[in-house]
Amino acid sequence: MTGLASPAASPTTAPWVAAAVAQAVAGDEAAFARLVDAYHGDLVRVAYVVAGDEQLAEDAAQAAWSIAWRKLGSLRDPERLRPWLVSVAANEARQLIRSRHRRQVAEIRVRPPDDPAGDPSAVAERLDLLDAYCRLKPEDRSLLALRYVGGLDSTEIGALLGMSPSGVRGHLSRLLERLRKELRDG
Amino acid sequence: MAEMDAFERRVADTLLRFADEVAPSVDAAAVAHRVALEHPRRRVGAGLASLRLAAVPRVAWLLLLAAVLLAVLAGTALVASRLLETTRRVPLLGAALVPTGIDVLTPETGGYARVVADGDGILWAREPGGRLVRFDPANGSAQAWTIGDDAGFGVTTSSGFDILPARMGGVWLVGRRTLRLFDGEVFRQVIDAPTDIGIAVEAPDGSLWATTGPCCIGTDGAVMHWDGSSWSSLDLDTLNADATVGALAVDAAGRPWIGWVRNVEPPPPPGSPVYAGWVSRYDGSSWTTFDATDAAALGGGVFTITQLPDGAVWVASAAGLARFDGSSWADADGPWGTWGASVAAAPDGAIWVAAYGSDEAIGVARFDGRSWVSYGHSDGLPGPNESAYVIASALPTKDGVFVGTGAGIYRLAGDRWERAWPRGPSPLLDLRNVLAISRDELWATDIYKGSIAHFRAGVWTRESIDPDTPAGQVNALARAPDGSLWAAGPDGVAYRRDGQWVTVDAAEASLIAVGRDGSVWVGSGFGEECHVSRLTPDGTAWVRRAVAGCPPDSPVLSSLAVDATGVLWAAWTTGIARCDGGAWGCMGGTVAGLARLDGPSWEVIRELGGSEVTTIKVVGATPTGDVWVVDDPTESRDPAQRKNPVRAARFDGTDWTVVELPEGFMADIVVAPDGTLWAWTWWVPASAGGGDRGPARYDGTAWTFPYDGAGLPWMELAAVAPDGTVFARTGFDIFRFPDRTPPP
Repeated sequence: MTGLASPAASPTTAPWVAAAVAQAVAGDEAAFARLVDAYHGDLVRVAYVVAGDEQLAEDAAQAAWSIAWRKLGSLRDPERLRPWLVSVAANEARQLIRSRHRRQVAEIRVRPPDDPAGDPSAVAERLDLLDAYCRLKPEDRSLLALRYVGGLDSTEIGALLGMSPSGVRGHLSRLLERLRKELRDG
Repeated sequence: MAEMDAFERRVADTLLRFADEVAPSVDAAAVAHRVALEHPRRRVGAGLASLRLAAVPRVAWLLLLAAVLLAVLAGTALVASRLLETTRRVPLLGAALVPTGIDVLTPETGGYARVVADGDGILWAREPGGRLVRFDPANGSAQAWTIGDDAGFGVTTSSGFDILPARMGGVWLVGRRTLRLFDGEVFRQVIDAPTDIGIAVEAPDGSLWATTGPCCIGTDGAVMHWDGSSWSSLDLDTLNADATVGALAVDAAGRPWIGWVRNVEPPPPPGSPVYAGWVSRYDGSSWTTFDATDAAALGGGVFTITQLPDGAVWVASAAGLARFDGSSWADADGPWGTWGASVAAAPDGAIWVAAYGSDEAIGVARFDGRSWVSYGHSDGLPGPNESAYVIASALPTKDGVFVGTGAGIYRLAGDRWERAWPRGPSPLLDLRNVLAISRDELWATDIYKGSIAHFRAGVWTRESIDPDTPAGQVNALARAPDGSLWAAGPDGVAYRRDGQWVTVDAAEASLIAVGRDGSVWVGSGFGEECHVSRLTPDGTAWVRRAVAGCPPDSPVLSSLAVDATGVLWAAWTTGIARCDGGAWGCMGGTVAGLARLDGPSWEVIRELGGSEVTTIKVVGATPTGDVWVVDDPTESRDPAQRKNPVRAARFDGTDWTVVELPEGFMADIVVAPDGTLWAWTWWVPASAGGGDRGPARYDGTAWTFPYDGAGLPWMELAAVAPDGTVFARTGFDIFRFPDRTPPP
């Protein structure tokens, strides 16, 4: 016999989400607000890692909510709400980057870490890695953001991007290898 | 995902630190209000509180707030019961079921969203698709009802809160605004609520209580009470809870209890939601609050409140379990600690707790008054990833101890848990890519369990392309003119003939299309690895010839179709191209567009019907040579475009004709083999033919609604067979509509 699992972190969807989704689909503004309240932070964080710009990330999240309001009815499984939302936000961030590139707006910005007392070599490594990451294409940054910041697994990413889980894993492996190589060569 | 190596951990850590640079905050109500104003629903289902949010001017809000403050200052009672509506609906008694003629083809899976025990000890379980199961613990038998038996068994969405036990036996089916008491034969009562229903419970006196649908911002909403003849309500506004209602219960004294849930601020890292909470009890004139100062467990988000026969109230929260004996609280120091718990008392007085942990494994614990004994996956309970829905309901009955899960009903036999129902393994879970051969034959892919599902003459079987990987994933299906079935997946491309699968190519493919001449086209990939290829027989082998890379800024290939003339059509997330056997050039660039290969060069079409193409998808081709596409501006990068409606367009080989979609259009459209277009509609106005919702058919001139969609759950059109049979699906079920020739 075994004990029950630790409550420390539960990635499962809270029971109220299914009801809130149902109500929001039916046009319930307040239920939708609950979803916004619960997930907006996740959307902005993922969008920020894709875009590297706080305002752009916020714009992407706002745009994602607009899409979510219209498309929530197509969500068949509320358990997949969060992956779906963060992928919409990541996609919006990617679209906004393209839009800004067309207008010659600056590239992704990397701020130095706030912790000046940190290990200088570790800080440098992190900046190097971020520098290499920022040279990736927006869609590749989006894939990494969905995986490592959004916490989506390969099946979820694959379902959202129209790829197989093995295809996602392969692409992620190649991106990691590219980053590793850039750091090694850089 | 495999375990991370050091470099991958470093990347993950760096990106998470990068994400931590932003500290997002949001006025959620303002965002919701903005998007709702920008995109009003055709029929707003919100209740009273929602209307307040959306429509009442700010001045009225201030006046209302001032009135409440004055009332409080004057020492008046905090909340008074008031009538929601003057309407009194006499409950129906013994309403017989009215079959709809809709067949639910998918078998019972045990993927329950909710399992309860009624007052007679009968277990009731409900699948997200609406199927209701009655399980008799005394003899292990079960009976099921679906929307085919009555529209009342349909659900609007896959809500997990849609049945609740009746103390006198039977089960309440909770609809969006309707409660139906089902006794296994008829609906004994049908009660309409004046507004949307959130969480509902039956009180010990048999009356019904429910939170209003938009209750969930705690400063808004209400608790409704049905006393047997009319509804009244208890406003929650004055609690100023700024939280969500996570639980509702009514004790033996008739006092409602509310469990609150609020996100912890600042937000924890993604994937680790932590909820705070407390409990409120209404004593008839005022609210009493119990929180972490009374018991540590009350400080977590509260999802369960239960009063056991001995009068003790148990609260399960994100922080643990607490017990209230009527005068004081005590934390129950047991082997649980997660918010997905339920608590119940067995006839022998033992307390049973069922819960699930962060790994989604089910755990059950028994308290005999002195110590706890716990059970987990190694004792036979469902393990991680074994449940369609992660639920855990402790159900001790006079006929044994059961636990309801998203993988079925389990019974404790000695020291081991065994699945009591369904008896067989879960056959199917999530079917996609439905290919209809006839009214009695379907093929589909199962994205949960892999492989291909085949329905024929009422029986489902499974097939796999590669016998060595029986659960191998299959991404897409297509049927060739000779009747052979083609499948594409990560393990390659194969066709089925005479009951045998033959693999013709080992490269991964996510899409497949077969032309009238038997030409086979496949596509797959992401970004630079995106490809489209043609497979052709060469002697005894098949040869794959890559014909195209994907446009650089439109990386995800979303659809493939071959028209009647053999021309291949493909669409990416932001563009569409037509390939006529020549080299596949770049088209569109970063601007969404429509293009077709006309000889050696691409003709890029950026407009349909006078407005810019936004997000486009090839839906299918008709036998007469037409190609249908759907342009969905609601995901356009241009905010101005997003306000435009989704539209379908038909290319007849020369010209494009834009067709307005029917009122209430909600989801993908399907091209039937006879060339008609089908769309799923959500709310069909009376002016457009009546009925609540359902399939709509476009015959080239107008949309019609051949079926009465009243009471149907939200579905997506899955396929139309060559014989005209219409199939629809939800996340877990496939529905077959009655054999009916649509009106001309």
